Amino acid sequence: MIRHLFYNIFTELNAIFRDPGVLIVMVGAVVFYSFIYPLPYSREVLKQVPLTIVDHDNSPLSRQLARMTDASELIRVVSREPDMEQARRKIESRKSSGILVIPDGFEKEVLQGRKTHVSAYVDATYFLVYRQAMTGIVMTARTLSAGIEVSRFKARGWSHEKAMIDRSPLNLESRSLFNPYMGYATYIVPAVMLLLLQQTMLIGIGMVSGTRREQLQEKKAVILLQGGPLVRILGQTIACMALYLIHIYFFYAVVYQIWDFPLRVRVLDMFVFLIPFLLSVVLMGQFLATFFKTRESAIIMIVWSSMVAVLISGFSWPVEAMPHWIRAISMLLPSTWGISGGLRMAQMGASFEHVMDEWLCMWGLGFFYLFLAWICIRFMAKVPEKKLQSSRDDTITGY
Amino acid sequence: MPGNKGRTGFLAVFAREISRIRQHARYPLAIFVFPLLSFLLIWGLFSRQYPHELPVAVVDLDHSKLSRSLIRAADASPVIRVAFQVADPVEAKNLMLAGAIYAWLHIPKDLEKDILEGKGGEVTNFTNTQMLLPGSIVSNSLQAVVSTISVGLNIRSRMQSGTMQEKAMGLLEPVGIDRHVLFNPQLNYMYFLSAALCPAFLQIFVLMVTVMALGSEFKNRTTEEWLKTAGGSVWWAITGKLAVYFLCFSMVGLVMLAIMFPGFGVPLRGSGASLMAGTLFLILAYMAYALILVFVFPSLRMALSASSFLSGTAFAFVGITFPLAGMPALGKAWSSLLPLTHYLHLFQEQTLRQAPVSVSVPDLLIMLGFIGAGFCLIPLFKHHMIDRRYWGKT
Repeated sequence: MIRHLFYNIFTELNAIFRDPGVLIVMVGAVVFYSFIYPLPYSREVLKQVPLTIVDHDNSPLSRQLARMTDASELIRVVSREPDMEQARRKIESRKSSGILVIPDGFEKEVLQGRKTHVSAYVDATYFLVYRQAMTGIVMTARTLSAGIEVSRFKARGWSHEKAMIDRSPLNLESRSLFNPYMGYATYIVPAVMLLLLQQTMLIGIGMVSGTRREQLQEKKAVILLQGGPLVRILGQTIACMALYLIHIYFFYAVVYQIWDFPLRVRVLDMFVFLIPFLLSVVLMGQFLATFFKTRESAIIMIVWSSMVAVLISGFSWPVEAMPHWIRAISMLLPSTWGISGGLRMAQMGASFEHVMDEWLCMWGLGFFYLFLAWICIRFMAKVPEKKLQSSRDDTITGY
Repeated sequence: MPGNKGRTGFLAVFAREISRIRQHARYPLAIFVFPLLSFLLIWGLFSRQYPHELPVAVVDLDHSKLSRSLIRAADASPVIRVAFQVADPVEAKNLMLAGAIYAWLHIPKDLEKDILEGKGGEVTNFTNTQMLLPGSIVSNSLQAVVSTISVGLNIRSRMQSGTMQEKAMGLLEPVGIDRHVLFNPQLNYMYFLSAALCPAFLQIFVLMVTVMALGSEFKNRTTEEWLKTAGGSVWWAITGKLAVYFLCFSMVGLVMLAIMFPGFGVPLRGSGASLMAGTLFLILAYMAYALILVFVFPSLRMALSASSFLSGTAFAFVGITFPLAGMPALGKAWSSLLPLTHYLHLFQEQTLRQAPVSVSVPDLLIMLGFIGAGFCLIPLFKHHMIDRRYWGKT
C-alpha cells in the first residue's frame, strides 16, 4: 500500500516531467501567462485620453481653460479645431475621444458675473474612456469655477464657504478600500492567476491520463499506476499538489512583487487556504480525465471553460446579478471559491474566519470529486485495462 | 471510404471529413454544442442587464430623522440593498472582509444637528474597489442618493432664508458643463460587453477545432491517405477539409448574429451586410491562423498549446475590458495581430457608432490579409504530408 503510493507519486511526477507537452502546460504556461496576462492591464489606469478643443471665444480665459484641461493627467489635448464639423471627424476616425467646446462670449459672460456653459462631447464607446475623459473635463471646469467663485465672493465681502454649504448641505466623501487607485490589473490579474492554476492542472491531468489511454490502445509500453483506485488517486493527487504548491509560492512571492500587487497576508496563510483548492482541482481533474479519450481532447474543453469560469466566478460580474442556474454551476467549480476567498485574503487581508465558508466549500468539493473520481476509475476505467492486463504486467516488470 | 471508392478531389476530401467528424464526438460538441451553450450562458448571465440589490451596510452614529431618511433612500435605490445596519466601522469592515457587502455608508454623529445649524455635513462611503465593477456601481448610486437628499435640504433652507442667499447662489458654478454622450447615449455597456463575448467564444472553437482537424492527420499518420483522397492535390486536400468546418462555423456565426441583436438589444445602426461579411472573414482568418500554427508546430500538442494561448487570452487584449489606448506598446502590437480585435472594431463601427461601410473596409482588408497569409502556406504543406518525419508527433 505505502509502496504503491510512493511508486504512484514518483510515476506521476515522472509522467509530468518526462512529457514536454504536459510540462509546457503545467509549468511553462503557468510562468508564461503570469507575465503575459497582466500585460494589457499593466498600466493599471487609463490616463491621457486624447481630446480636441474647439475654442470659439479665443480669449485669455478660454485659453486658460484649454491649458488647464491639457494639464489634467486624465486628458491630453491632441488637436484644436475651428469648428464642430472637423472636431467630429477626429472622433469618427478615433484620433480623439472627446471634444471640449468653449462658446463665443465665454470670458465676457464670466466677467459680467453670469453663468456660462462649456460643452463636453465624449465618445462613450468604451466605458473607461468615457469615464476618464468626462471626469477630467468636469474636474478642470470645477477648478476654474472655484477660482472665479472665490474672487467673486471676496469682492462682495461674502463668505464663499457659507455659500458652498448652502448649495450642498450634505456631501458624500468616497473612499476606495483595498485597490485605492482602482487599478485594473489589481482587479483582474490575481483572480485570473488562481484560475490559471485550475485550468492548467485540469489540462495537465487530462493529458497525462489521455496519453496513458492512447498508449494502452496502441498496445505500447506504458507505465501504469499501481494499487487500488484510492491509492492511484492519492498518488496522482500528492504529485500534482506538490508541483502546484511551488506555483503558489511563485505567484505570491514572485509575481505579486513584480507586478506590484498588494499582498496583505503571509504567503503561508495562502498555502493553508489554497490546499483544499488544489485538492479539489486535482480530484476534479481526475474525474474529468476519465472522459478524455486522447491527450488533446481535454484542451478545447478546458480553454473554453476558462472563459466561462472567469465570467461566472463572481469577481467580474456580481453573484447577486446571476440567474440561479448559473450560480449553481459556478458553485461546482473550485475556482469560484478559491477566487472569492483568495482575493479577500491576499488583496484585502481577510483572516481565516472571514473565508471559512469558502474554505469549507472547497473541502466539500474535494470530497465530492474524490467520490466521483473513485466511482469513475473503479467502474468505468477498469474495462479497457483488464483487456490489456498482459501488456501492463510486462511494463511494470520492465520498469 | 465506403461508397466513395476511387473518387478523388475536393468533394472526396469533403466527404471524408464529414465521416471523420461523425466518428469523434468531440467535433460536433466543439462545433455546435459548446458555442451555442456559450451564447446561452452569456444571455443568461447578462439578461438582467444591470446588477440589482447589491448589498451594503450602514454605520449610523447619528440616529436622527435625517440619517433614517438617508438609509431609506439608499435602500429604495434599485441598485442597492441595505443588508446590514451595524454599530461601528469595525463590524462593517468585517462584513466586507467576509464578502457580505460591497460598501458601507458611514453616517457621523451630530450630522443632522450640524446641518440644521448651517455647518454642513459629510457622510462617507467606503467602497471595496478590489471588486471594481460592483464597487463602482454601488459608489455611483450612493452618490446619487446623497445628492438627491442634499438638494432637498437645500430647497428647504432656501425657503427659510432671504434674497442675499439667492444672489450668492447665482455666483456659484460660473462655468457649467453641458454633457453630451456620443454613440451610446444610455451609457449601456452591458449589451455591448455581452455581445463582444460571443465572437470571443466563437474564435476559440474555430481556431482549436481547425488545428485539431489538421494536426490530428499528422499525429495519426493519415496524411498520405488524405492526400490520396484529394487526388494528390494539396489544395484540394486542405480546402476540401476546411470547407466542412467553414460551412459549420458560418452557420454558428450567423446564428450568433441572429441572437445577438434581438437577444442582447445591440443597436444595428450600420450595415448588416458588412457585419455578416466580417463574421465570415473572422472565421476564415482564424482558420488561416490554424494553418500557420500547424505549419510552424508539427506536433499537435504544441500547435494546440499555441492556439489555446492565442484564443484563450484574446479577450484581454482586444481592448473591450481595458481600452487599447491604455496598453503598453507590446500589448497593442499583439492586439493588432488578433483578428478578433479587428472584428470587434468593425462591430462597434457598424453598431454603436453608426459609421459608413467605408470606415470598416480597412478592418475587412486586415482580416483578408491574415486569410491570405495563412492560405499562402497551403502549397508548402505537401512536403509535410509526405515526409514521415512530420508524422506521429503527439
